[in-house]
Amino acid sequence: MTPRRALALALLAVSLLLLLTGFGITHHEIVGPLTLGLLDKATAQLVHTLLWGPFAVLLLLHCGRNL
Amino acid sequence: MDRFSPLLILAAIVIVGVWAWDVHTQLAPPPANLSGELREINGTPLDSVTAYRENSIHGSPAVEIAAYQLAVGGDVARPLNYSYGQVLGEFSHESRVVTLSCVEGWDETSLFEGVPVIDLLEASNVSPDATTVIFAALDGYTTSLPLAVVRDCRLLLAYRVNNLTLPRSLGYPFILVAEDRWGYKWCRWVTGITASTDSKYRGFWESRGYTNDGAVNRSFFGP
Repeated sequence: MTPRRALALALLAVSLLLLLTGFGITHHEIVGPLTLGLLDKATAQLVHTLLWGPFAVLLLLHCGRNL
Repeated sequence: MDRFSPLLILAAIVIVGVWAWDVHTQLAPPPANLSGELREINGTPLDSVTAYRENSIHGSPAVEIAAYQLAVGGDVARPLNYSYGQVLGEFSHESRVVTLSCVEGWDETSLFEGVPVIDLLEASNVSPDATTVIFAALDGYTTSLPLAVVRDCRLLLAYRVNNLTLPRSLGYPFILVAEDRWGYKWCRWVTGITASTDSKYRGFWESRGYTNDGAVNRSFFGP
């Protein structure tokens, strides 16, 4: 796997996790059971608020490599 | 691409640095219990007053309690002003465990002690035509609730939380405990309670897209 592809996949994974944890905050009654209780509202809030760093770095590097 | 690499790397390092500081702040253990703070009542755990996030519109204002006045007016027969001591001394007190749910996603549960807002309004002979109660804060923030909700739910104007005097960050001297309403209905640093016939009145966040109803079991976006 090329570094460029690895970077893109990592960004995709973090983006999806951002989406999931976002829904875990606003729709916790759905996401909680769907994740077998793994992602309750408080956990979703914590993960969501901490993901901005990895997301920003990956997005920056991804755009930098591809623009 | 190569021309921008050092700049990209520098930006990434800056982001990682700020992020690391944020992680450290968010994962830091909660501060020790404040002296005298109640953290459990009848088996119900209570969240510390230090757990609430500061999300006021202009920062927490400092209230000079000796000069503080709570104005009750609008569509009432007798507009009245109260000092902090008068509110505490002239009205019955009630305590309730209530959860504040913020649109940001967090919620905190605490024991609030205060005066029913409806008692303040009735002391001023609120007009039978009034439909809405508008709350104004020292920092210019406003919000409103139907008079029927204020009356039926006996919403509290709280001055104590978890057996402590309401801290400045939570709205000292008074916070509206808007049970079952999103956090933007919990007006802090309350200085004015106004009865009104304007049921379409929209407060600070309501005029920016949040629901006027503010019911916590429904989305906060909408009319």
